[in-house]
Formats: sequence, structure tokens, C-alpha cells
Amino acid sequence: MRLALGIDVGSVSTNLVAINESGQVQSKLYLRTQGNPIAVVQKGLSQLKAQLPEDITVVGCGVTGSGRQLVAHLVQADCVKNEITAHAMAALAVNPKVRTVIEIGGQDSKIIILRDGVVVDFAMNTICAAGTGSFLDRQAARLGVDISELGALALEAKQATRIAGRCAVFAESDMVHKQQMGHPIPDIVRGLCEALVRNYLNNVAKGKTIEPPIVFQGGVAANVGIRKAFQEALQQEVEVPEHYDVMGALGAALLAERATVALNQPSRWRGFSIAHADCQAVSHDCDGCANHCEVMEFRIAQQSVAFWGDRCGKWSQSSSVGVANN
Amino acid sequence: MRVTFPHLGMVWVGVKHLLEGVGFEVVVPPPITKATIELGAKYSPEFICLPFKVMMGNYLQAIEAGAEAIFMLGGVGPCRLGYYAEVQREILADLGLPTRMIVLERNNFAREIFTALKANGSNVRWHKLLSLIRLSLAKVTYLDNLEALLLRERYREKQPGYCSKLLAQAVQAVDKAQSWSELGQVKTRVSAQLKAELLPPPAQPPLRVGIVGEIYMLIESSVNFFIGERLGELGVSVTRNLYGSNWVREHLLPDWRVKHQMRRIARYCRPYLPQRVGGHGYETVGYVVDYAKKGYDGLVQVLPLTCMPEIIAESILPTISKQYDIPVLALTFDEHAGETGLVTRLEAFVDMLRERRRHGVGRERVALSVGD
Repeated sequence: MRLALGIDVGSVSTNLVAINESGQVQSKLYLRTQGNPIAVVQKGLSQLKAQLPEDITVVGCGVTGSGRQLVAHLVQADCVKNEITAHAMAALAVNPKVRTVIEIGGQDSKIIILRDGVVVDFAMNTICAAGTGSFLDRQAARLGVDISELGALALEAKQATRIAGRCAVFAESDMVHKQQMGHPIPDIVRGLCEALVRNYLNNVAKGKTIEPPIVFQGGVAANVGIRKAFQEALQQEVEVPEHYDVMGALGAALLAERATVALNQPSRWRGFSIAHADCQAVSHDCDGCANHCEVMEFRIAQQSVAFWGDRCGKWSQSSSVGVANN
Repeated sequence: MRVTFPHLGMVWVGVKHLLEGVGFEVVVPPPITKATIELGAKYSPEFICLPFKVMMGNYLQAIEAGAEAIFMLGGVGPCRLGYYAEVQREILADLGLPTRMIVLERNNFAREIFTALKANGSNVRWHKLLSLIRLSLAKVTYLDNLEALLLRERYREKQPGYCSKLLAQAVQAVDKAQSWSELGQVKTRVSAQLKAELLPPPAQPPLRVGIVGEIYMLIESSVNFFIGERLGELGVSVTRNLYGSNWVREHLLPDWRVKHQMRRIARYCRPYLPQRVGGHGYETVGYVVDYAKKGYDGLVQVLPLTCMPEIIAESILPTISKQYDIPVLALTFDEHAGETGLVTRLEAFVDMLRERRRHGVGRERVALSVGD
């Protein structure tokens, strides 16, 4: 079987996806990054290998997410893309008519506006992480609710308690206050969902024309409370795709396929054996000039394979292995 | 007297030539790095705009290198830059530094300069001063023009990073040049070198992006994470609307070409913003219209956090963006700005522009503007 791999290394979760030639998801993994992208990708690759049949050929490998550069060196990716392009690509594969993509992940949220299958506008949260996954995680922990049940709890509410959602710190103190006043927890959770949606629409989606079909993806799309709050606020149907939690990785896999199979290029993919290699990233401050760039170095079995992060190219051009940056 | 001044792109080359020419000992602040910004931010009010903090860093590093007096511009109008010098003076005094601030205001420009010259014991003749000013301005103008050329053509450099290296070399060489003929030699050498290192122009015209915004954040690429260079490396031909030498030509010298251009920009701006709002808010709006009419593929606005003039412009840009069907990306910076988020946005922006071009989105606008 010929497969393309997609890896999305986010701040909170690292997702891996293997797609077949018709673009269908063959296997997927959702793991916690826990601040160690190399180890988690290695672990993910060996788990993915175990899930897949024996006779597979990897025809392309794409990476995205905030850790994309590091992991690109680890796996020798064919395609290194930003999250926005990757998410848009995946949403288009799910629904070619999509006009609005709402994506809320661990630490950032974005809106992507498409017309006739082309991204025409986008925005990312700039100021505050209120309303993203890590904030919800924290609040769930504080309320003593499992994060996966938070959404269902919101649906039990008879009414919503009004929570100030402008800022994560204020939202949290407001929630504590409302708890002390005696509001039932489900009402508070529903209020929280509505506040987060309001915050998203007023900040991230400010000035954007949200038109249907709307696709809602990213880890937070699992939360039925937020889904419902979006539907109510927008007065529109909001579609959550089957693989909503790994859409970035799916997009990266599709982009990798476009960079290799579609162009008849061989893949540069390092192979599953990298899952068991001794890999490490180290950094140092270059003192070659006044810029003082923080230079990253990637080593496999104590051998330097790549440098990056320098402005002048003194290090990155000296490394034996470059990386496809298309 | 050992004097210094804040950085602003290439301007230091000219200011250094001028001040040395009239007999000052000049301490150029070290190039701006993370350390400069951190040092400046430490001693600045938290919600002042980023340029203030960077300048503060420049002063402190220059003082450490021996500077005794600082030349700084004042100003009037709603932009806070006009009041920077006074606040900075107070901060330096609070730190117990004996450094003198020489603030050039519009109404005391000549007087302040002559007082400083006198205090320094310099005796410069008029014609010498004029020729010094001319060569200083020529140096900065040349470097600005070279930077503009490199921004426009970087997308076809053979070796990634070559253009930036060439510019750095040119800055050093121009700084050393002490006469018109030496400056001319540098010019000839640089253009020959550049010609050899560029690929021929591709059949498909490149994506064109205009960068507009607050003057300091635009010009000082070390504080905007080199967005012009980055866009070039992503294959974009970049045009920037403001340069240090332009500012001098517009405000300090009667240069009819610049004045003429500014009248056109004002005409473009007026329907959206009928009055000046300080800083370069007016120019930002006008140039956005100008670039949109010229069929650019996209626009980037650069502003420091809490910059009032640019915030006004930012609120107007979506209207123009919709009207001309041209994407605008606004990037706000302060000392906490992260590089990763910026790179993601720039890459996504360029991907989007490329896809739009491929699918012919916004082409009607381009066709329209050609006939304009």
C-alpha cells in the first residue's frame, strides 16, 4: 500500500495521519506533545507503524504546526507548511465548498475565509489565549471535570451564567466568583462556552464575513458545548468533520502528496527506523556578529545533520542536509 | 564631546559623516539586537511604543561605549515620538547619568546645533557645512535606494542570503567613503556584484507586496524581524513606502519630486481619512490605495503596539481591502513579539497570495488599474 504521512506538531498535541492514494485517512494518532516534540514524534511513528499493514511504502511526508521545522529535520519531510495552509487544505478535502474554517487548537485559534476553493483571508489570535484548548483544559481541571465531559456538561445547563471572556485571567476569576455565588456548575460551563465563542468572534473573526458552509476543526471542536454555542451565535449550521482533531496533519499529508506524487518526485522520508534512533536538538548563541542568532542544531546518533535559525546562513548553509521549504 | 544618536535604518551612516565632519567625536550605538531591546524595555514605561524602548537601549549601550551627549529629534502633533526626547531625558536623569540630551525641535533646530557646535569648539564654514550635508545625504540616499532595489529583486538571488550580505558590505563601504569619488567607486562595485548574483527575471512576474506602516518599525528591520527580507526569501518582490532619506527630503529640504508624490498620496488618502492623524497614519492609508491601484498582490502593515496613528489607519484598511479586493496583513510588534507566529503568518499570507494569483482572484482589479 502506498501512503502519505502528515505530522502536525502543535504546542499541546502532536498528531500523525497516514492517508492512502485516494486521500482517505488510513490511520491516525492524537498524542500530547508535553514539551518534547522529538520524543513524541518518535513514539507516534512507532505506534503508527504498528497500526499499519506490513507492506507499505511512504510516498511523501509533510509536517506542520509550531514544531514543524524541528520535526522536518527529524523525518526529512518533503513539505514543511504553516498551519493555516494545512488546515485550509484539509477542510477543502472534507468539503470542497467550504467558505469559512474555524480552527481552535491548543494555544491558538484561527479563522480562514475561502471563496471558490481559494483562501482569500485569514486571521490568528494575537493577544490572548482565552478560548483555546489549554485554557479549557485548565478550567476543566479546576472544576474537577474531565476535559472530554466538559461539553456534555454544558448541554445539561438550563441557562448560561454570564462569564467575562475577554481575557483568560479575568474569565477565571469571574468563574470563581460565580461559583462562590452558588451558580450550578453546568450553567457556568455553558456560560464559559458562550464567552469563549463571543471572544473568538470579537477578536479572531473581527471584521470577517462568516458565510456557510462553516467547518469547525481543531481539538476544541470535540467540545459539544462550544459547537452549540457557535451554532447559536452564528445562527448557522456548523460542520465538524470526522477527523476534526487531526486536520492539520491531514492537510500536511495532502500537501506532501502534492509535492511528491503529483510532481513525480521521490520522497526524502527518512523511514520508520528514525523512531528508534538517538536524536537530540541543541542550541547555542552564535557570536559571529551582533545579531546573536540562536542557532539550532539537530543530531542523530551524536552526528550533526542540520543547523537552522541563523540569519546569515553561516550555519544552515554549512549543514550537509537541507530541508525542502516549499 | 563624544556624541551619539538613536538608530534609524541607514541614517546613522549619514549622521555620523556629518557630525564627524563638523568635529564631534561620534559613538554610533551598537547594532540593535535582542539585548538592546531588553535593556531599553527595562528602563521604559511599559505601554510606550516599541521605538521608544529600542532608542532607550541605543542610548544606554552608546553611553556604555563612552557617549556624553545624545542628539534626538523632537516634534509636534499627536504622535508620541515628539515627546520621546523629554521623557528619555528624565529617565536618563533618574538613572543618574550625566548625559546631555540635545533635542532638535522645529523652532530651535539651527540654534541648538550651533550651541552644540560652539560647546564643542568646532568652527565650521558655511560652504564646508553645505558640502558635508550634501555628501551625508547622498550616502544615506544611496543606501536607501540600494535597500529598495534589493527588496524588489531579492526573490531572484542565486544564493539565499546574498542580497542581505551585499547590503551589509555596502553599508560598511559607504561608511568608510570620505569623498564623492569613493562613494562612486562603491556604487559601481556593488552594482556589478549584484548583477552577477541575480537570476534573470522569470517569465511569470513575481508576487508583489507593499509594506507600509509606522516609519520606525518599517525602516529598522532588526525590530520587525526582517519581514522585507523574509518576504523576499519566500519569492516576493517587496516595495516599502518609507525610507530615512525620503523623510529628510520631505521634511527638511524642499524636494519637489517628494512633495509632488506626497500630494498624490494625500489625494488618495482623503476620501478615507480627511485629516492628518499624526505619525504616518495618513501616508499608510494613501500608499495602501496607491499600491492597490498599481495592482499589487498584497499589503503588509507594520505597527508598534499602542501606536495611535497606525491604529486609526488599521481600522480603515479593511474598507480599502474590500473595495480593491486586495489582502492586507496587519502586524503589531512590541518587545514580546514572537518570531514563530510571525513566520507562520507571513508564510500563510504568501501561500494565499500565490493561490489567489493561480486562480485569478482579484484579476479584475488588476485589469482595472492598468487602465487607471
